[in-house]
Amino acid sequence: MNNVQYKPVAAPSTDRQLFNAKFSHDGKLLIAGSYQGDLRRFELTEDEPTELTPFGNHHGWVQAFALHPTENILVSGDSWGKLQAHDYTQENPMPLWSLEDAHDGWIRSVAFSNTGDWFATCGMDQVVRIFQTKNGKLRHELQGHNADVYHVLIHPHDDSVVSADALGNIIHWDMKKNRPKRQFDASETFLAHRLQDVGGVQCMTWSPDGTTLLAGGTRPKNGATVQGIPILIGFSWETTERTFLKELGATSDCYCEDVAYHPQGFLMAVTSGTPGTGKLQFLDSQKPDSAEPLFLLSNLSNCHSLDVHPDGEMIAVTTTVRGSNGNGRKVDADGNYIGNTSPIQLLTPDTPME
Amino acid sequence: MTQTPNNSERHPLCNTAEHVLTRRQLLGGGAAGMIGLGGLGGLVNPLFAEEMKSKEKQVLFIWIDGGMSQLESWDPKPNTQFGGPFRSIPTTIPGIHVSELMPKTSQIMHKLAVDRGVSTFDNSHSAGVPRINRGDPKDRGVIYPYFGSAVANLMGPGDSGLPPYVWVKPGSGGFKYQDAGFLGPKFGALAIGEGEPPPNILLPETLSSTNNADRNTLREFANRQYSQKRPPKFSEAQNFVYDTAQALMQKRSLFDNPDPKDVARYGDTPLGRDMLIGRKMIEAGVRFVKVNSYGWDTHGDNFNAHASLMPRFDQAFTAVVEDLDARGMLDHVLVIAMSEFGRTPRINGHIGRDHWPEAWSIAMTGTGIKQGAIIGSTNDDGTWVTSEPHDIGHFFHTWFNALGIDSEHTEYINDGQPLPIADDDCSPIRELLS
Repeated sequence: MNNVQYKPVAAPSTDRQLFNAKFSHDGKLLIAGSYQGDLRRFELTEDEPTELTPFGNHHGWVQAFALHPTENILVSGDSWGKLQAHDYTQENPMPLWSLEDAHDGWIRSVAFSNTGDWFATCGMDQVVRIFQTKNGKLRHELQGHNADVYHVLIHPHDDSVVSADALGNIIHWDMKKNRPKRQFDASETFLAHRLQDVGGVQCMTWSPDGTTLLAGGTRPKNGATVQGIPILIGFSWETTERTFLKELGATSDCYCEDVAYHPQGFLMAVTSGTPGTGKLQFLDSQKPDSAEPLFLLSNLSNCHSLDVHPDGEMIAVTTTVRGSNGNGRKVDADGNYIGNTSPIQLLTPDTPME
Repeated sequence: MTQTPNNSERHPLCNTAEHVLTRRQLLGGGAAGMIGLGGLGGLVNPLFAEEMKSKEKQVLFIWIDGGMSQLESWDPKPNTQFGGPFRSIPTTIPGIHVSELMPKTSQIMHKLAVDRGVSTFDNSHSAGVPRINRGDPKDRGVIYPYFGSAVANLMGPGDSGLPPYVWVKPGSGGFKYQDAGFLGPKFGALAIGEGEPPPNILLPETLSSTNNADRNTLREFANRQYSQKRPPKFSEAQNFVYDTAQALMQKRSLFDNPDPKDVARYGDTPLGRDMLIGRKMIEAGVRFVKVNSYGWDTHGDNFNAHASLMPRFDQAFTAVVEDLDARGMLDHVLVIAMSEFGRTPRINGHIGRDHWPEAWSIAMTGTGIKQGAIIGSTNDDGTWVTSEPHDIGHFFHTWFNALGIDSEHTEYINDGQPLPIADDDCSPIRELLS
């Protein structure tokens, strides 16, 4: 994999900013939560991605959603605490069920169990909850975090639940006793700066064999206009010991926003940048802390998520518009205030992978 | 051109006797010991100065440095393009909502006044901070004073024996003369850094009172020698700093460890600590107290930042307003909470908000302010002011009037040059005044 090279081929966008874009299991749809109460879809079967009808009667931001591992069910959570399930393949998806107050406020992450029978959620109320997929019934409530819970993850082999918070504390939960079982220390992703708590674990994933837990974030330098060195930390799932720490850039590269393993075996990470613009980079999964990435793309703007198409080749990176920052008024020719958007960069390898 | 008070540079068209009176002449020599502690000098009309001496009104000015987001605080626009992730919550005023990040403030909303129609001009910190703090007056060739220095000058130190303008802040302390502008260094701020009293505030144990008195006699002799060949403003400033130190030596208890119950109520944070010191300073009679909060310039990660910042503000702000109210002090203390600007509706690529002076909010309460007055409005997306826009000059007029100062007829006299104390294109916002 030393010669892997990716290039942007399309960049579908909507009239609203978007969060984590994910491919459907059949690869025909690209789905992302929006900054204004719905989910947006693009059909990928045409030459150019085509936007379909938005869905999800959500509020605020829809940052958290996950796809059922085998069925066409999508569970999404919004920043007001509402949780819903939809068949995302329908022309106008209607809720299969809806929970208005699944959390008290901002739901940050959703993750399905391996069978899809249940799923986990977490959020600003510092709680992790487990719900049944078929009806949204609450099964467990896990309390033990002392801060906003940013990410929840299910182990690929045994359905262990882990969650990570704004203080850099990662908890492996004992589901029988509804309490923490083990903890992983990613506290260097956190800084108390002046009045502000900065950082925390932004993303997590497992190695394909389930032996390594990876957590991404920043080593914060300051608050307000947050700057810091993006870092990726590896933990042994067996011992909770740290196995590596990889710095993914300079101070201006800020957060490691998402991390995933490519089916070809290498590790992918995206950074967002402040005041930089962020990067997409591929790392050798056998030596993730080696100095040089296998591939580095630095001309995307503020990368906030990544996902791999089921074909194992195309990847989607949610970005923003370069130059979207700036003080004071920016208006168009008609005097209308200009908002921001989130082009989803679709990238494919220069040469097909074997 | 920058011009500082100097009798030799008096305005050529201005010859009335009051304009050339010195500060010491006006006060008839002043009270022994506290002569240097600012206020009521030759920089205001003498009749007005005498009137203001009897007033006990004070100001608690909460400066939120860097720019609090109006959308995550006083003027939420939930579920809109620029509204962000947070909900709005009802307040004690029917129909009025604030961000969910202000649950405590929402319960005292009926005690506050908020203007959501603030529209100013500077979108940089370097220009915005001083211009906002000076009331953005017209350019008259002088550097106008910050609000604290203005109040210190116009209203004097009162009877507390403490300096008239104290700035409680994180970071370094010291004497910050720059705030005073043309009023002269003695109307600057005494800054209390990190909740610590100025260093060396206590006399060394080895120094007897007799020796201390002898040293003071020598110091005063040296000062007289020094001042004979220099403009009065230099010796006055020097005396001011020394007298300030002496005054604080008598009030060392202001820096004692706080009551743990107060810490719990204000929050065990730098802002909680400083707000509590600010309250003590107000209780001790300091005319103008500025409490500073840093870290609000959230160009990146604005929403997690405000999720962290706002509860600390919410707790400390609510606690101090409740305490002042419970003590009956809102009758004579004006409380203001503001930044140099708001933050952009547009959410940038760093998930931050940038500087936005076009449409933001200022909150206040206390003496002269109409409680429960929630005025001004922005459009549905929060991008523009839809009511009559209010510039900072309007607020200076409003606050001066709340303090009993007729801002449209009171002038500074700067070396004979009459200067309006607030932008003469603006006027008080009557809806905010009780």
